[in-house]
Amino acid sequence: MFKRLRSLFRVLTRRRDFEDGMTEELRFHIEQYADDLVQSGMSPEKAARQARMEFGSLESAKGDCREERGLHLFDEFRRELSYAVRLLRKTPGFTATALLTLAVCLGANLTIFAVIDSVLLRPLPFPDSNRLMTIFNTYPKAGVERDGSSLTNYYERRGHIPAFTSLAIYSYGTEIIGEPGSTEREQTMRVSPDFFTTLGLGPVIGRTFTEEETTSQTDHVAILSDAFWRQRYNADPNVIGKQIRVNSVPRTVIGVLPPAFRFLSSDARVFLPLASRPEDRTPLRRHSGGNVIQMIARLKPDATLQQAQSQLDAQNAALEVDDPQAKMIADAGFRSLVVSLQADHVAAIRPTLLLLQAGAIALLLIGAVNLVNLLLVRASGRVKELAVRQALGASRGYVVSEVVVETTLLTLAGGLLGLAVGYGGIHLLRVLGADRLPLGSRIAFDMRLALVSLVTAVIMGIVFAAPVAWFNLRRHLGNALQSESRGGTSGRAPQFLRHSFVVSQIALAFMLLAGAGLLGLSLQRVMAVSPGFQSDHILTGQILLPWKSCWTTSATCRECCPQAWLTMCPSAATTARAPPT
Amino acid sequence: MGKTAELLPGTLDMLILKAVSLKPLHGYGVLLRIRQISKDALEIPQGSLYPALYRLEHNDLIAAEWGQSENNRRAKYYRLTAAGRRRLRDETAGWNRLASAIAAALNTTSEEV
Repeated sequence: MFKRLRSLFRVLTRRRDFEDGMTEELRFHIEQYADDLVQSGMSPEKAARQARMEFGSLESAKGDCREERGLHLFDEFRRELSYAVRLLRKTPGFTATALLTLAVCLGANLTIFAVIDSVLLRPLPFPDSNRLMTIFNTYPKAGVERDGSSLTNYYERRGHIPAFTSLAIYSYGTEIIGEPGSTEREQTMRVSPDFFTTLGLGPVIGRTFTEEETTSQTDHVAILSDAFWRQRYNADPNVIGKQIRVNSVPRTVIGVLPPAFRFLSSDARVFLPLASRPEDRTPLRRHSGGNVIQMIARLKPDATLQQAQSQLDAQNAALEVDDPQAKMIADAGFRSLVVSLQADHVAAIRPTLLLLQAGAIALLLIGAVNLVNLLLVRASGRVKELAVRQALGASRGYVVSEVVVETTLLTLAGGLLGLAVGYGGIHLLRVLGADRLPLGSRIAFDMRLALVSLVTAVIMGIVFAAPVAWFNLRRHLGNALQSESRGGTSGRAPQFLRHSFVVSQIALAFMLLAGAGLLGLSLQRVMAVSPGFQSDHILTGQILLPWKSCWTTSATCRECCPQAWLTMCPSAATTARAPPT
Repeated sequence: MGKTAELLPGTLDMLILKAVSLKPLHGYGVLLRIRQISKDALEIPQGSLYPALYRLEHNDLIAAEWGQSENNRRAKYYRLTAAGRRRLRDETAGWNRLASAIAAALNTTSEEV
């Protein structure tokens, strides 16, 4: 099989050589035979004629030779392709409409699918990321759906839930980094020492945090992201051991993360140990999460989420036995939930994205029905031509393959245009701020997406061909030759087909319209929730000062902040200071 | 020229393989060689010779190469490949088995039944 394919490929790539060689070989045969006949005493003219006659038809021998090499299918395909191109060029209006419809429909789908792919489908950039879980406390009866985890939870659970290989906590923050005079606000993360082990991706230079570095006295270390290391340290390989000032306290750089490291949607560039005091880890503080500290864990390869959940429930129940607050906690409906990290991170956006994709698919369906309708109208204009060709001996297979080639050519070209539209759409999403979506910064146009949309285009081409081919083959030749001629009316069946396509088109459009309307209404309602106060003419702003400097000069600080606002914004009538959150 | 026999279906390929196994030949040479080794008993329809050659080459049983003919003209020469040699051996054995079985069957006399 492989040899045959290779032979076919060789012939196809050197088609001219093949044809010339074949002609030369056959001519050689005939002339050689004629020579032999002359030698046996025949006159040259007679010999030449005799040789050609005995050989038979040269063209049919050539055709047989081509067929033996599997070339006839390609020749036929090429003929059908050039015929289709000719037909499409003859009706530029139809072709442009069809291409535009396809490009818009496929491009819209490609854009939405790119978002779905990067947010919902592509795994997180960590090894075996499907084993990464997040755990959070919930008190639904107290109106708290999500409360993160507490330090106490972490120290009680670590090593005590057999279904997890490791467990870690983290919190997001911003710190002021750099020497006085050249400071910058940076996104940071405070993480427990096992954070990087749990993710399965840690520093490429240096080491991770140790257990000893989790107290407020000993946490003077930092790990840098690759981007920060390149920008601030010029990718210095000897960065380990250098000092970096975080909130004006010097810390030692102990590690640099790989370029691909990105935890969920965080832009953190500096990682610090999540330090705490022993009194923060006591059972009394068990339910003081406040949604600040989040917990992640890695499932053991043979453990399931359900096992982890039941082990966690069992531990919670055991701990609550001697908890003085047990009654209150139970009344609040307390539970700790284990959820897949990625699913949890994108849970809020998931239904919206699926709804958008459904809308895009509905748009594609409307476009498809529209196009099939146009194709049918076009086919009914060619009924006679096809009937004549069938009467002259064109086989049913030929009629079908001709339609398939034509529609697939159309959809494939539309698909290519759709790639361009999709590329533009993805770019537009970026400009509109797609990176604010969870995992949104991963949205990108890549080869996989291109392949998916071209395969969709080919499938659409084949699907489009079905009704048209059926339309072309359905009728008796005699009727076709008579009906729809000048003065005749179109047959009932094709009319019915066309009408049913129009009806389904309107139905689909109505569905899409209703869906879009409902989506808009619910969006409006979500945004129209009253905040409980008169919100117009109120501005809000934040001033971030290093905690330490505020601490030392807290009195002045409290005074200066509203004052600073008034200076910066003289048109404000009054200012108020909200307590730090 | 004696009486010529019609070729059985499928035997043309076998004869071509045999012809080129003796010595690389061009198409016309294959025709002459088959005539010669069958002592003019087999007549090959000239139009079907080339499709058969192309088929065999496509299946990698023979290989083609351009060369010079006896009278210094460019001609395409065919030779047997390793796969072709194996196929010829198998087909010869198969043919001999079939032929002797049919001969034995046809030579059966009433006494032997």
